[in-house]
Amino acid sequence: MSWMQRLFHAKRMDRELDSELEHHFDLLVAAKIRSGMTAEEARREARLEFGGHEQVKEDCRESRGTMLAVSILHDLKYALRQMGRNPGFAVVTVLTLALGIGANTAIFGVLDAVLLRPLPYRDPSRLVWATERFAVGGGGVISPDFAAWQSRNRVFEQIGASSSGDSANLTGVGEATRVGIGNVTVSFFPMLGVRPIIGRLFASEEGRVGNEHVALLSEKLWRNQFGGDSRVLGKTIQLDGKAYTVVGVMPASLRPAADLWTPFAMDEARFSPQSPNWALLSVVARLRSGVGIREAQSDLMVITHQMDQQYPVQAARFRAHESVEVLPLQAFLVHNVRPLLLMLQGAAALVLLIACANVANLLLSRGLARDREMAVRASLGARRLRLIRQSLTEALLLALPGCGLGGLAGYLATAILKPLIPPTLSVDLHLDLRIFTFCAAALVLAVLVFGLAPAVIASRIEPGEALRNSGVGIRTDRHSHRLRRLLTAGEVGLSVVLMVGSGLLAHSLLRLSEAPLGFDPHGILISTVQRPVTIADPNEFAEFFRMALERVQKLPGVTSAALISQYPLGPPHNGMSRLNIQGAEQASPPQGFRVTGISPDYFRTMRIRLLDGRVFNDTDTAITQPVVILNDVLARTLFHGRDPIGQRVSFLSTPTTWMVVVGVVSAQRSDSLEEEPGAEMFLPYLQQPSFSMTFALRTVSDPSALAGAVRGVIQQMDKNQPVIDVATMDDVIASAIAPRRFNAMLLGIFALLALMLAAVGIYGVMSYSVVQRRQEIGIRMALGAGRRNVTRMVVREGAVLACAGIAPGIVAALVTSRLLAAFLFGVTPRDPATFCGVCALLLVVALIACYLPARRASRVDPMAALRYE
Amino acid sequence: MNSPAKSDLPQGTLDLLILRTVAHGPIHGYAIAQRIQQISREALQIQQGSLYPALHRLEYRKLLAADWAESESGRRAKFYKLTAKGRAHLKSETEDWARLTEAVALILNEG
Repeated sequence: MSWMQRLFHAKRMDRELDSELEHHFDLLVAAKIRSGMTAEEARREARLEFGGHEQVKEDCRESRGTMLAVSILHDLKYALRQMGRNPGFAVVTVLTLALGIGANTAIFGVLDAVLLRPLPYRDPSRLVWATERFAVGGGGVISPDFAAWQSRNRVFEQIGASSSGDSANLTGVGEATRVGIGNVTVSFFPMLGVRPIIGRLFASEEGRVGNEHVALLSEKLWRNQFGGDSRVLGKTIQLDGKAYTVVGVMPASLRPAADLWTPFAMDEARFSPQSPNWALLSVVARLRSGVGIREAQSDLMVITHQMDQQYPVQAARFRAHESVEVLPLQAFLVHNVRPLLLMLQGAAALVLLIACANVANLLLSRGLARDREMAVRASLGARRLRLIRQSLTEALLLALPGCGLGGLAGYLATAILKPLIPPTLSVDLHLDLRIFTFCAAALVLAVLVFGLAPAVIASRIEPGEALRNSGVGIRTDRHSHRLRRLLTAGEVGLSVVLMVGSGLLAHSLLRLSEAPLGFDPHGILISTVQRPVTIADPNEFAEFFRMALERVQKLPGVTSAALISQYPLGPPHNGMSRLNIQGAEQASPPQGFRVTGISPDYFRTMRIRLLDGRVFNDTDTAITQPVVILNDVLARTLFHGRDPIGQRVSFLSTPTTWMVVVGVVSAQRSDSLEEEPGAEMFLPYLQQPSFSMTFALRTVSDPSALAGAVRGVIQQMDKNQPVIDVATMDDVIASAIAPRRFNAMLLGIFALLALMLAAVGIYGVMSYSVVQRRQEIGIRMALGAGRRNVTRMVVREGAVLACAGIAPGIVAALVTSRLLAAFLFGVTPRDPATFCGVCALLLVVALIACYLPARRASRVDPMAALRYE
Repeated sequence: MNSPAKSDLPQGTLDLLILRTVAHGPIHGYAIAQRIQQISREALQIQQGSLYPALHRLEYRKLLAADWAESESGRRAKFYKLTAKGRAHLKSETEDWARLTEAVALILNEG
């Protein structure tokens, strides 16, 4: 018989075993009667001699192959019955396990995908990002310096550059659409070591002027716009009306993402230091093997210095104190999200710790409650290993569903986290098996250790003793009760850390949403139109937008409409850093300022207050006196309290015409929600035409309902003109807050989990304490203590327990909250209100957790409690 | 899993005694215990708690086979008998035992 058959025949075998042993027993009795005993005596003697019937059976079963399968089945049945008797315990334990595992698995999955896993390029550890830093402006490499780096460096195997931020209208295939273009040197893709899905990369001659009209599509564009058809190779597409030939399709994993790539033509105009038309490039290079970051940095620095003399004199000021920075490509790509991910991982790890403590706590308390049962079973002949195996089965029965659910929770959480990942990163996110195993192992270990402990202890003890000590086991008490208090206080302390963190983030979010914008976003629809840059005459842009505005204004439901060259909180802006004031020596504001072209109705549409002078009107056109409006921040910086109206300013160092300041408006948060409003200058869009303008519409009702109508107006004027970035201003603000909201929410969930777990911990300890002190409570009540006194006694004990956790928790939170400083807005990391609020909340929750046990204590019937002994 | 024998017999000896006893022909558990007791002149008391697990272990190892048959008292009882494998095992174990006791005796008698 196989063990399977044995398993199924277990019942029959059991019966046979019974009759075999009975047969023996009867013969024994008969023999004793024959030797002169009474039937009664004989049976007694025989039973003593025979030993435990059940145990002999058990031993017989064990000595056969059936033992494991059958007795495990027994164990399982018993464990399930135990679970059924106390489903609350089982549910809480399994959920605790699942949450601890799920949260950690998901967060670590992201951490691993973003920070740890190498980029999907050939030998990615040798890829570096390099930039120049100048006295003015941010990072990037100006094109003549790049050319010098490329030809003179001794540290790179290959070097490539891209200039992003270009976009064009793609026409000639399906509906006209706006595409983002990555302009890359022909060396760029070979340097990364990526291959096209189909077709080829750029050939080296395509990096020369005149040959650059070829394009590589992104996989996404290829699938959406070309239906994933491989016949796209060799086809001609139109970008802003210019013809490009498709030569290949690049894989979706490529970062930074673009819709398509064109070769960066190395023409003289952009690469000569004498030319004013430098491009600002983003440079990525592959180190020669054995070359370090520092070495590369100093090599490039030398070349950049050598280039100084080649530039015209005017550039000297700009190039003063230049430096070169080289970073591993991966570090550069993740530097924005790194602190956030580390914070989330820290929070998840705390949750895991709390979950472990909680599971330990739950199992210990249940173990104690079952002390007596263990003793009874031991005295009935259950052997030590058997008891331990039973406990093991029960522990596993909790651990396995916990792990299963944990995996599921991790999977779901991963799906939720996916959209959070910034698009600049190449991320292939999936449930990480290694970390799942790690978290599951940590928790299962906790389950096993604390699930088995009671059985191990019970099996070591003389059964009789346990039974003599009536009621709950007294032996293991003192020790493990102290352990449980410690665990619970620890849980409370860790919860304080998490709750303070999440409280600070929530507080920041609140502050942010209260920050005055300087304009009224409600009821505004924006939509952007970018005209092909190939249109030579800027006045043609202006004319197109003027006509479009006239039509849009007439749409039903629109109360006012305006044009703006860059909308508030939109993509990175155009700015200027120099301004000359007529009659002043030098008047550049210390920081740059934003320069925005608008139509006359803009301030009315956005409800921005005019503080002085006038707004633009229809007589401010290309052929009339140039005028500007300043916001009060810029006016203050430039004129220091003098009346700005009538002042004349110019961007040019030797102006031929001056612009007259005609008005001052109140400042608005245009660049970022989080920064105080910056300096801004407004020009009539007809005097400073731009190829890209955004329509801002104030509407009577739901602004998003007008999106289709606006698109209709534009398409009617030019069917090849896409409309992009269509959104309500409220949406724009919401998406500006979104990352912060997400952080706060995630940490909030962690904090809530921690709070719940701590509450469960307190509840468990207090419940047990009440059971344990039943007699004491009974005596107190018999001696005249009222229900209130008893309740107060229990609640006081709970409060002391909570405070024992809160106090060290606060100290820990004071340390850790400083790490959060970068994520805070408008609150300090030691914000007293948040700390007090957290403590109060925890104390309240602790008291609620004590309430049930306290009520139970106050209902103790003194007589029953005393009889219990 | 190995149940510790409750008799004072050295480990493995009980199996040998059982196999030897069963070698005479089909016999049930009670009779095995009785016979060992008698032949050893009451020196060896076999506890049921050791006997039955041992019987089942030997049966499981296919050294013994068992049949249900009518016993002398007229009740159905489980009779054990030696299998071919059991007989071979008994032979080699008996030889081993003889060698062992001989060796032990030599050492004990030396001084």
